[in-house]
Amino acid sequence: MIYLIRLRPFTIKDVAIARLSRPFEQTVAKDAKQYRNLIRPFEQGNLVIDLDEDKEFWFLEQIVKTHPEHMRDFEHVLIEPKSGILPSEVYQSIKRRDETIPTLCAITIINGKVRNLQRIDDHRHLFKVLYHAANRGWVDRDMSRKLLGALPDESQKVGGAL
Amino acid sequence: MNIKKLLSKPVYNRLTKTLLSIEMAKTPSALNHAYDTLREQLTSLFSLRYIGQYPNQVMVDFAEIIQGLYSEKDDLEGYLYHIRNYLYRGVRQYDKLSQQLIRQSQLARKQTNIDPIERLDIDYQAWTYTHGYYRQQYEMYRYLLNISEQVLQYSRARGQ
Repeated sequence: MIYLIRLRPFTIKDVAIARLSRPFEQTVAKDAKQYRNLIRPFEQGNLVIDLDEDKEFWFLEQIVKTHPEHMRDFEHVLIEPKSGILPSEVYQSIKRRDETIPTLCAITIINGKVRNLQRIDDHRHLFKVLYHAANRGWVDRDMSRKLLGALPDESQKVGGAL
Repeated sequence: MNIKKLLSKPVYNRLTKTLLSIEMAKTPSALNHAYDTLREQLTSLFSLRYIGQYPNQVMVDFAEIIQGLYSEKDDLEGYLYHIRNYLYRGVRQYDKLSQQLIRQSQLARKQTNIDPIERLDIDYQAWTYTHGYYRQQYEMYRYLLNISEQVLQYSRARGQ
């Protein structure tokens, strides 16, 4: 199951995430307000986790546990982290919600275990997550179809980012 | 691995161009593209399976040393002497620090009253040496030592 973790409310800064490339501009969001539409299917399915104070340490643990071996300094989640950053410093950043902390992350949980955690950089990534979730039936397929344009049939095999 | 190819000008030119594009990249996408190009170039040069999975900075360090083989071809043995010293130092430092951090992590596990965030710090630091960045760097050093040995033998055989 894919969940979205929302670390702060959407602001005008997140408009970059919603900026669209040509093939999708007819069907999907053009600004931060519409960007919310892309996460609406997740909200309807209760798949959006707002990061409250009591979940911050859990989130930190997941960041550390899912650190890929080929990366350095939690680049899978943090935006331009400083070199040699430690989990305690990441925790302080999470508390402050500073500029290294992304607005949105996607977390994949299979059989109760966290398999993947990635920040969502732009609308393309969010698009892929929604596409993947819709094809697995985790979110409302009809609503997702409206947002994403035509989705392939369930019988078709679909590759995804996650 | 073809040693003659490693010492050739086309390889030097390709690596120089890619390393320069990494240095000059202004956008994250340009930087990612340059890293991907470098990854492709290195995987085509070496048969080692996980060379394409090195962290970006480790890959750049690796490419810079390989690039130097052509530019320092007039005094290849001198260059290899310095490089091997540098690599041995890195390996020794890794051995020392990894043992220290693993011991520290084992001790922290036995303590019950330790702050969970501090425990995460200690475990993470040990992880970077057992699986993470420094482990990859160490493997790169070991592989380069192997390559430099082969290049040294090739250079001596050619000199004779």
